[in-house]
Amino acid sequence: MTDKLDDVLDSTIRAEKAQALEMFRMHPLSIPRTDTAAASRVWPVLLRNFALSGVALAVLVLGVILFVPARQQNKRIEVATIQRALQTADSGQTTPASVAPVPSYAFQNRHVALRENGSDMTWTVQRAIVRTQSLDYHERDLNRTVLAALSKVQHAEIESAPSGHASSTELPAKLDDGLDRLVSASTIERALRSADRKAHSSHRLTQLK
Amino acid sequence: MELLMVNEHEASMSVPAEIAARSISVEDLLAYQETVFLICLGFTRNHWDAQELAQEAYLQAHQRLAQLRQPDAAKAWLCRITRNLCVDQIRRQKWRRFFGAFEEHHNEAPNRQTPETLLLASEQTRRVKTAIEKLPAKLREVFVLNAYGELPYAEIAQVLGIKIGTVMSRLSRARTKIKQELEGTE
Repeated sequence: MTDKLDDVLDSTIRAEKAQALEMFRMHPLSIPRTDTAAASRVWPVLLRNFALSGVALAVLVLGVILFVPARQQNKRIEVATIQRALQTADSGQTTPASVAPVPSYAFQNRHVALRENGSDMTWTVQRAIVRTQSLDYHERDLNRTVLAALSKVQHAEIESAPSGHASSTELPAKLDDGLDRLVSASTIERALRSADRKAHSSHRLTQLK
Repeated sequence: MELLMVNEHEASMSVPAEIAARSISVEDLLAYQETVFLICLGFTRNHWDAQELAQEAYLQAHQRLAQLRQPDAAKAWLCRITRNLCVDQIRRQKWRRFFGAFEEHHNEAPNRQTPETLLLASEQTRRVKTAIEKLPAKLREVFVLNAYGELPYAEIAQVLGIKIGTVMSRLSRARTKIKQELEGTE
C-alpha cells in the first residue's frame, strides 16, 4: 500500500513537472545581457563627459574664487589707503580752518594720492575725504581713517548742533575700532549723507544766528 | 535593455565544472533555470507564479552576483535565493488570504492556469498538491527541494543550512505525511 502511494506520489509529481517544464521551455527566462561592446563604446563617452564636467566645474569654482573677492575688493576701500591719502593731503594743507570751501590744492593732492587705489571707488573716497574736510576742517587730527574723521564730525556736530538735530548716530562706533579693517563704500555713503544732513542743519542755524 | 532569450539547448546545458574553474556570470547560472523553476513550482503550485519567481530569483542573483564567493557553490546559492523568495511569496499569500477573499480568488493557482493545464490536471494531481500544501513549512521545503528541484541531500543541507541527517529525517516525515493525507482522501 505504502509502495503504491509512493509510486502515485512520484508519478504524479513527475507528470506535473514534465508538463510544467514543457510550458516553461516555450517561455524560458530572459536575463539582462552584458553587452561588452556597447560598454566599450559607452565608457569613453562617459569619461569625456566626466572630464568636461570636471573642467566646467573647475572653471566655475575658479571664477567664484577669483571674481567674487575681486568684486568685494572693489566695493571696499582699504582704510590704509584712505589714511595715506589723508596724510598726503594734510601735508600741504595750510588753509585756515574757518574757511568753508575746501582748498583746491588739497583736492589735487588727495586726487593724486587716491590714484594709487585705481579703483572705481576713488570718487567715493574722494567725496568722503572732501566732505570730511569740508565739515571737519577745524579738526586737525586727520591722520586717522575717514571713518574716524567722520565719527569725529558726527561728534562735533552732536556737540555743536542744537538738541534734536543731531540724532543720527548711523556711523557705528564699532567701525572706529581699528585701521586695518575694510569698510564698505555704502557705509561711508550712509555716514556722509547723515553728516551732510546734520551739517546743513548746523549751517542754517549758524546763518540764522 | 537588451534581453537574451535562452533557448532550450542553453537551458539544458550543465556547466558546473566550467563554473568552478572561473568567475561566474548569470549566463552560467542559467544552466539551473529549470531547477529553479521547478522549485518555485513546488512552492507556489502555480505555473505563472513559478515563472515569475524564477525570473525574480535570477534578477536577484544578477544583482548579488558579487556576493558569491564560491563559484562551485553557485547552484546552492541560487537555490537559496529561490527558496527565500518562495517562502516570502507564500507568506504574502497567507496575508492576502487573511485580508481578503477577493485577492485570494484571483491568486488561486487553478484560475490562472491555461485550459490545457486544467484539462491535464487530474484528480490525483489535485490530491497530491493539496497534501503537499498541507505540509508544515520545514517539511515542505525539504520535500520541494528534493522532489521538484531534484537536489541531493547534501545540496539541500547547504541551501537550508541544516545537517544532512536532518534533511533525511524531514524528507521521510514529509513523505509519510503526504501518504497519510493521500490515504485519508482515498
